[in-house]
Amino acid sequence: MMLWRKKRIAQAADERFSSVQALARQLGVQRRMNARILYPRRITGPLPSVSFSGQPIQIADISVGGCCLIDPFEILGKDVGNELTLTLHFGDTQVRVLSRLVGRVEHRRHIQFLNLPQPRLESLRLVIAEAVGGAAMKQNWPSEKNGPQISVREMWSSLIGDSLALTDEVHKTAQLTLNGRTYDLHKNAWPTRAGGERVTRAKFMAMLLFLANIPHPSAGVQILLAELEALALEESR
Amino acid sequence: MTPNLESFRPKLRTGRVIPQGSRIIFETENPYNQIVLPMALADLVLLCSGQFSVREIVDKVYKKQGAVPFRSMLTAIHLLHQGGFFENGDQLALSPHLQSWMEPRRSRWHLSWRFGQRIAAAHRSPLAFYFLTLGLLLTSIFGLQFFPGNIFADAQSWSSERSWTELMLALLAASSVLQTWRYLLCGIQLLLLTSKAYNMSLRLSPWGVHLHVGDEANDLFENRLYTSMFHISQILASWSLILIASPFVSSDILQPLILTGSLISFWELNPFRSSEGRKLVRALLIPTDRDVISWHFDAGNLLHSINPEGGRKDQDFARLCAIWGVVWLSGSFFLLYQIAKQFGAGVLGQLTHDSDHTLGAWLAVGAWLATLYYSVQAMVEILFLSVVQPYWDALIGRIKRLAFRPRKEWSQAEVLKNIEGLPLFSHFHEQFLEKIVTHSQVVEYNDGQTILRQGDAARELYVLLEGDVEVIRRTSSLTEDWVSIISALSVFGEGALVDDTPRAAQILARRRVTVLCVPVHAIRQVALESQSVRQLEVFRNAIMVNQFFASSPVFRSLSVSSIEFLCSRGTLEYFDEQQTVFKQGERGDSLYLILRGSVDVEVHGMNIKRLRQGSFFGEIALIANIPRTASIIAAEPSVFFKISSDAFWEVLVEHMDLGVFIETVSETRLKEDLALAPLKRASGDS
Repeated sequence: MMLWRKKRIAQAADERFSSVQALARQLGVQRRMNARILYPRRITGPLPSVSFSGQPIQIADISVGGCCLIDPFEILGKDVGNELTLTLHFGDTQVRVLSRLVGRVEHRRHIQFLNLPQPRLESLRLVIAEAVGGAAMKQNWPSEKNGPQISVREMWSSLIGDSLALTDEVHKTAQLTLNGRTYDLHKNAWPTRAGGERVTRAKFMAMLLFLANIPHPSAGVQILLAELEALALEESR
Repeated sequence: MTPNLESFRPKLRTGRVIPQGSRIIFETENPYNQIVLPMALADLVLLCSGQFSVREIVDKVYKKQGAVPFRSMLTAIHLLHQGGFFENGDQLALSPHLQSWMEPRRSRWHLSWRFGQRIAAAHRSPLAFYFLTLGLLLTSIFGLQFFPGNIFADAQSWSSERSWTELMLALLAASSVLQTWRYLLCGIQLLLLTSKAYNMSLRLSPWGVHLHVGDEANDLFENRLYTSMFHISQILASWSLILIASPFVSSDILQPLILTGSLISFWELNPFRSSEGRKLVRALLIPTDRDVISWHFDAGNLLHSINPEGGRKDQDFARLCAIWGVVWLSGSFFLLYQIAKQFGAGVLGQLTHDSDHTLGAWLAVGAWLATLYYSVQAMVEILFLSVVQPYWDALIGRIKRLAFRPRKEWSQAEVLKNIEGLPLFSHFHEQFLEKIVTHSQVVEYNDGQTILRQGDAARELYVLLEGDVEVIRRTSSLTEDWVSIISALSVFGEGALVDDTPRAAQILARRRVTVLCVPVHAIRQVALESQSVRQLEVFRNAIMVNQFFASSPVFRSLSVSSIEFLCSRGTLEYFDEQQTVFKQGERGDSLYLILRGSVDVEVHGMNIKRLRQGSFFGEIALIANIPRTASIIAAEPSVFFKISSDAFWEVLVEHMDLGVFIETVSETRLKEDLALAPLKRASGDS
């Protein structure tokens, strides 16, 4: 009888939850549309790197409308409103984009793209849409003394349904759920789908960007991200 | 004392939370005792330590996530409670609204083994659905030729040569085959029409052992023709198999198929729960999602806030079901009587005299008695719930109305006692209030009588002391727009206070009402003398806000302190015709209540619908922490009461049922938006 009850409850639980957020996403209304995403520390993946007059400049974050550059040597100048031509490097190809300096705070320069080509803009939008879900992630409450105990080391989740569980297992370091698909992250090994199939490099990069955008990451998440970045670098070599 | 839901401190049994992708499993020390919940509810589960009340948990989740999935949370609490996962579950008491929402379906007498949660087809094929269903309908109609002229005589002649064991096994086998055939077709039809079919299971029920397909995908139907075809074909589906099988099987096999096919079709025509006939009528009479809300809430009047006609449609449906129910039940009792007459003696004989007491015979008798018990119990229950109770309620209501006799004379003290409870009169000192009442007159109106005419000169303000009034507005095209219902105690006709413009709407009495007719000059004079009320406009604004909260079926249920809190935190905003209140995609930080006027809702530039006085908008962005999902444009000069996000949430934390309702309205509105603006959405995404 216990088994019957378990199944009935699980079935009912499955059927009766719904989400306003999910419906809003279907309608095309979501926070991520014009959101900015942070760059991983060591690897940019499908995101562009930026140079001005041949000199590379560090990027803090990027959106489809512009980016934030770190410019301690004032290569880009001081005057807000100036128009500049930046070079965006997408892998082997590069695009020259007319841009405007729209703000500056200390070393940060806020740039607006004026003529980013439509195909590039669309590919950037796709990358951002996958990665920005990380910004909605929050660490779940720790186990209370008299309450239920978490079976993993850390649990992170968002109202959209993405989640991250850091485990204490020997080989499997974490389980990541992105857009309804679950992936296993391993120690010094390429991530796999729940069934054991290796993920593509593009998906791996999306995971990296997603993890890099988790706000206020714990030490565990930072270590996980560093390990994955190291793995990606090693693989690219 | 039993705490209500908001103050209940849930404490889960000792156990652990296991993340599984986008879900979590809560497992007690007994590993069979598990429950699967969405990952978004992990915080709720982790905070159920007995230390925090539900109110505090909601507050904590809101502060952390910026939004609270009310319905999911309450569903989870309900399921945990039902599953016995709470140590202190016996302390939980739910309000009738939440109870009715959480338990919309009653448990049934069956066991099921679910083998498929969801099947999804690559794409919808409405044309294939149309031809399949048309073929099914035609074969079913041809199959009806096998329906016997005298079903009971045929049944008796067929059964007389067989033992009870054979009889019951044949009937159970036939009904199992027919039901499996019906649900198989149902699954295929759902897949073709909606591309989805949910919850496939193998079911042990009074119909035998058969395939079952959940009816969740029915909610995805969009076309009335298809809906009608689907349900009618499901009622008659058994006859198509009978027609197809007739050339290949003997009459010994065909006879039980015909008997059970007749029973299945008859059962599916019942006007009560879960029958195809009821689903058909419901789909035709109550086609929109928003009306389904009232269905779930089981309270039509809540719906007036978003759809004034909703309650009436529900009433029509209930009345139709009652008449239909009486006819159907008469038929079914006749059927039962005939069955008892034909076979009852045989059953008793089997139990008392026959010597052939084999296991099969006992099982057959048990199955027969179980079926009889289930049928009688279900019929008595549905007779009581669907026919007796509504008429009993109507009778009690009528008696109450007849007993209602308006007092012929209202003393000044009585009037004072009534109106001093209105927040808007709290500005006045007692002596000023007495002065107003002295200059006023108590008037009674009968049902349907006009209290105010649109276009008349405005010289009085009215305080509704007893009863309800209806607000109707005539448009330039001489059509009548239903605006709202105002209930006692409330104020109307306040426009006369600040200007001399004619009445903007017509007010009609519903049943017998008593109003206090206050001359405007008396209030003006008192306002001038009073130290606290200097500005008549402020006074009028207070009346408008009070009127909204007193009349709105949704907000009226809030406690006085919550209404006062919202009033103190809100601001009035005035918009001209065609002025934009907010645009789609903007950040949302407030909820708007429409005190006067109406607004157009636009999604991706497409006009979706119009919201009128008494309704509200802007709730989706607050409840889900997302940007505005639609643009709102004033359709006429309008007045809104703007409530900030923080104030709104402080009240929601105290009133979970309001949170559930607003979330349900949000979902329904989003579904409407999605249904009405798909083309624009596609182009917007590109």
